[in-house]
Amino acid sequence: MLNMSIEDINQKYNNSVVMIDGAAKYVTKVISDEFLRVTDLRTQATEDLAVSPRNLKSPERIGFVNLFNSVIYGQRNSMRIMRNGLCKENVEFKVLECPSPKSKGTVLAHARTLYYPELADALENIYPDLKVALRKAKQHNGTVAFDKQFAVDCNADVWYKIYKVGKVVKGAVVFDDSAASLSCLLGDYNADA
Amino acid sequence: MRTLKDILGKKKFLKSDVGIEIEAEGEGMRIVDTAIWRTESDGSLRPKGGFPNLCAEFVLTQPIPVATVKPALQQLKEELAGAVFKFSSRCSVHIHVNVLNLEYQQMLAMIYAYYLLEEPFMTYCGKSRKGNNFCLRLADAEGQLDSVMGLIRDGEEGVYRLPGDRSRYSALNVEALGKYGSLEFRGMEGNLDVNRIDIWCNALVRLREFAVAQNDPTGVQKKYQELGGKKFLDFVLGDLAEHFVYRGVGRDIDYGFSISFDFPLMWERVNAKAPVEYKDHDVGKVIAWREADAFMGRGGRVDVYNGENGTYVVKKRSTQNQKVVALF
Repeated sequence: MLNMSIEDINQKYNNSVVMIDGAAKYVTKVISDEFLRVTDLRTQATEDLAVSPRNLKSPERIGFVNLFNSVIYGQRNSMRIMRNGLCKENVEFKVLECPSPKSKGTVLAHARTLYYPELADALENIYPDLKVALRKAKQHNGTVAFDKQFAVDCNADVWYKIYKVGKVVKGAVVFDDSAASLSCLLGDYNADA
Repeated sequence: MRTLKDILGKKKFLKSDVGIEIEAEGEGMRIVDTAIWRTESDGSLRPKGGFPNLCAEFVLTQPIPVATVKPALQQLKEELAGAVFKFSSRCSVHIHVNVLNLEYQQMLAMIYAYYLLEEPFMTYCGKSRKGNNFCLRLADAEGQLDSVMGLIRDGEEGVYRLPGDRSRYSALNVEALGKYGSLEFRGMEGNLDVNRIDIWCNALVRLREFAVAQNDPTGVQKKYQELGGKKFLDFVLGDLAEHFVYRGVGRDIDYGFSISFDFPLMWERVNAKAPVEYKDHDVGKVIAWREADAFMGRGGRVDVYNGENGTYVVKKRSTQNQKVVALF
């Protein structure tokens, strides 16, 4: 039970992406102060779920979303919108100048729907490792994220958010001189290489 | 070096440290109108039309030195004796920290140091404040970083160019800079606990002192990398650190470092030495993104144009300094 009026629950959660028990869901209807009708972003199945302040949370940062073997960088803005979840009004996607098998417009338009399994991966922090990401990027002439903040493209160029910052050489990320300090964010990947 | 007072053309209240706003819901409140406190109606509080008995906002009439926060809060408490407070998630305590005496890069250092410590700060401010729509952390709403990055990219002029709707509902609101010459910390949950608010104000003032000592974001970054998360917290807050420590605090500060990394990176790039000087015959030349980026990073002025295939065009040069302006 959410201990709020139906109006408040509608305002805060309807038509937005929330986390319920750690999984990303899109709220399609507020049934009562205890039940929400949601679509699971990963399975696309609709279900009625009991919610309480304990299991219903706002998603944390979005970061890279892998979409159509391309990437797009999502972020929430802290603006005057009462929705606790992610919605079209409070989310912004940044397009990279990276290789992409689909047009940037197509990737952006799909990303904005907030209604697809790949967004669940991003919100639940599920990414392929660097090796898999690079192989996939080369296979599709695209770009694949291997971390919330890092992606690799088919030319083995490495991207930090919207910036191209280095290259994968012999399985390890080598940063450009101007971005050398980023290496401290990628300790594990390079240690494993 | 110019201080923010000079940059913003402000003159008043230079010796004071903090401004305080306390939003309250409950019963039996009344208008407090003293030399220190005034009372305002706030549209975000409930019930609507309940001002002042059922909901009100109590605001310091002017900023005060941090040493006088405790007696000021005690006075407010006495004025409201008999009121029964029911602080909901709509209620919060906002602290404005005066940064008018800081130089521009010191103010940036303070913002960056705050982001490193945002998680322990917000834990102190109250569990309900994490993910709260009225005070979103960087971990909740990354878009706020674009606003503060603008402060770096645009230099001193950045304070006049802050976008209106990207950070106002962040736990750290930089929009107050232009209006009041302060950074507004919106994290603290609604309460009238004198000690708790006093510790919070003192911690924020220590954060400011730390920023002045480190001088710029690079200084803050070096100190963090030298000490590591937990010791960094101890260094910044001194004996107040014990109020902000919990199991896993070091890991949370490391996370803050990871998600705010653009900040020192941009600072470093903007302050890199000597811009590349293109010659006249370079105008119209197609250059790679990385070259254009490096040119900007070394302080070159650029406008943006979407070139094809990640390439950019050197468009025209500045007549004053003979540097080429690249459009990309």
